[in-house]
Amino acid sequence: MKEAAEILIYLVVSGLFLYSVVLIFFYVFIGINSIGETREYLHKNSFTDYRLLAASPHAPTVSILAPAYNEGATIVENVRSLLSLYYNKLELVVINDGSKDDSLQKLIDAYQLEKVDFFVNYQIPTQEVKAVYRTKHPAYNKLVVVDKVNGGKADALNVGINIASHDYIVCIDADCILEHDAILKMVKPFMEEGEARVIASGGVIRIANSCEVRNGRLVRVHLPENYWARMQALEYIRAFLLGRMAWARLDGLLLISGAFGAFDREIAIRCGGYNVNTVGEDMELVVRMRRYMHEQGLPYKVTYIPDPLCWTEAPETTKLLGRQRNRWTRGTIETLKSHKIIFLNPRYDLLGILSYPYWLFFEMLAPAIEFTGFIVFLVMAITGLINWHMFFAFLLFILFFGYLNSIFAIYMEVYTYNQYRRKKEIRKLILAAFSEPFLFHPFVVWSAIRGYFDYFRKKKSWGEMTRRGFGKPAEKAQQPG
Amino acid sequence: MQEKQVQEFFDHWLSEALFGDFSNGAAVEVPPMLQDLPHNRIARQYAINQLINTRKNLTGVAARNVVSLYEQLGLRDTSVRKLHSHVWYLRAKGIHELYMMEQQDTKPLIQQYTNSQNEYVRLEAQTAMLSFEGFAGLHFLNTLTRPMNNWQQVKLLDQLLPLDPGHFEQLPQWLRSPVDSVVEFALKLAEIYQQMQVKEEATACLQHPSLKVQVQAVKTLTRIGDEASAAILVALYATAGTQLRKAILNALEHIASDQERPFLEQELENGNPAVQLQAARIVANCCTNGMQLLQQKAQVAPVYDRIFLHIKSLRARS
Repeated sequence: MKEAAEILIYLVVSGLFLYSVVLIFFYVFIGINSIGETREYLHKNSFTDYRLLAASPHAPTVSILAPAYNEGATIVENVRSLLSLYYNKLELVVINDGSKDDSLQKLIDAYQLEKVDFFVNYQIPTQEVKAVYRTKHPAYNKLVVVDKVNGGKADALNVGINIASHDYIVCIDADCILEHDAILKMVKPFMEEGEARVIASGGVIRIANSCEVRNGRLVRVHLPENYWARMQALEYIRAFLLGRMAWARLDGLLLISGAFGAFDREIAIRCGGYNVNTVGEDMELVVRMRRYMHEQGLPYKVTYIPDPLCWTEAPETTKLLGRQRNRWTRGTIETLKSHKIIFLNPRYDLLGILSYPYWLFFEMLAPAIEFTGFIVFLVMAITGLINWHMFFAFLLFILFFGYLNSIFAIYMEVYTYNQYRRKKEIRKLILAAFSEPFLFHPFVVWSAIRGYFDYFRKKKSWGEMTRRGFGKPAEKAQQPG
Repeated sequence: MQEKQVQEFFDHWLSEALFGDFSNGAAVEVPPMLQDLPHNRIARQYAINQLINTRKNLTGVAARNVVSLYEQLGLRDTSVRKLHSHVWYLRAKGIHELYMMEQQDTKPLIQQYTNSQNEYVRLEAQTAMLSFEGFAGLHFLNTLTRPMNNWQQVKLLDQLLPLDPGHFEQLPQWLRSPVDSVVEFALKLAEIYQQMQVKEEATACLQHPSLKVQVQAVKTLTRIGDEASAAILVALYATAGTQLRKAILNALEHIASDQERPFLEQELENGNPAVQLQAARIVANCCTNGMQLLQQKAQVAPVYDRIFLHIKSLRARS
């Protein structure tokens, strides 16, 4: 019996060891690829004059879709900020997803909106559109406000896709702050398409906590003062500058953040739009669009640009952060489960052979494997099966490798976009990296584990999202759909 | 720190030097701190970038002064060295700097890259040709064998925008190019500069194997076509795919007349709400008593009623 237990533990430990080795290999692989992709991007765009697109009659037409639910505190300012983006052939569609607050009335008053007769073509089935508003004020003629029955973020975005009249859609969170030139930069990859059609393009999301915001514009960047937000700033740098750039180089991206992503509207409609039955609708749409293009035998690309173009507010409390990570885990499981046909399927090329398995083993299953590893460690420690010399050697190695990865990400940030210009902030970021394995990371793993439980309990809600608003006291918004 | 000092000094010096008079080839007095500029890699690139940015925002004497400063600071050699580099981004950057600084004598060197394998080098070289020669610089299209993506086309069109339209003798030749994107670009030129003389060739492009060319041909005919063009587009509609059909309906919004009324009435019954809405818009805008027709249809089914109200609202706002 004891021998059997020892063999079992040996097998589990060997499995965990093998998993770690492959994971480290992937991190190195991602690091190398991200360097190549970022360098190439910077070289390609070092003498690009984006201004020519801003007013060009030949620029593609773009509709920004901004779903809003109980955003009354910031909606007027955020819409004003979006209306001032540098891009002429733009339409801004704000979708009021059945807000219970005065969001709609505030918009009506601020932008002199009038209800118009609007024929809604429900190409993607959605909840009912109650009314469409436009203004005669020439300064706001790009604005379309849609009032609809509450149906959740995915449903609101689908309404936006139905209403939008332009070729490309840029889906954002209404509370995000976009850089002035965000659309100019986002549109360029679509214009550079060759034989392969660019179906989607992602942009980098940065953390805006503690940044100075005036009139809906980010005027000065600061590293978040709050520990949890600061950790997320580091995490986002690592994820966006390393992970996504590397996957973009391989054309294996599976996720474009829901906070800021651009899509070919026609393909999005052909794929049926956002899935309203998942809480990971952003990832699900990208996977479905890729799958559709593969199955139709159409050459395509999903691109990514590393410029910091979109700033968002990160959760500052463990309660909210936990809910967010719980939801992300459920969204990943739901997406991967509904597209399991891709797994190791050579018909889907790199998507099936590399991207999907990576997401399955190293994103979706990682928290479960880590958690299992921890339990096994406890059992082995109690039963005296641990070789402590070996344990500390591996622990040091893993810690060192993790730090190296974070420091490399920080270096990439300083080398490329250098948003945190004060040396003190970079030092703080490095210190945050050192604390990560002992505080932030275990918390994130635990939240993901709770996400598994909630998934199996078939929990579908987004949970309560509290937005402080930039430089304002916290406001609560419940997204029930 | 020293780099920063040089940069600050350069900015200050540039703002003063711009107002100098170099019209008779007068030499600029280069301060000692900047005399080593061509040998300092970071500082010289900073200076070139600053000069280019300044040049973009200026015209006339001030712009010529920027060019003069670039030459007299000895920065031209740096750009030429980049042009000769085997690294694609250095070569592209070198070309960019040389045409931004109006170095006409480098034209023969740059011209050879207008069909370069690297798309960024190619685009910069093509832009340089237009910068040096205006519309005449488009001759690179005669020999171009590589594609031009939409970004490249927009950049070239933007480069041409401030210039007086030239002659387009070679337009028919470009419209027969074996490179699809050259045909597409030529159609755009015909559309923007209303080159009626290539109407036949543009009409022939409706049968082109490339969908992008077909769609652009439809747009071009909207601008340069005659009263027969709408009928040609309607005839094409029956065999066209979704994207081309959409382009045809867009075009008909501008050129349809009562002659297309039977076709439009047929499309009003199409069953696809997007097509029905667009057909209704054309009927309202282009046909005699179009709104009356829509009002009558509005009595038939709720979908037509909603379409009618939509069009009515649009017209009230325009």
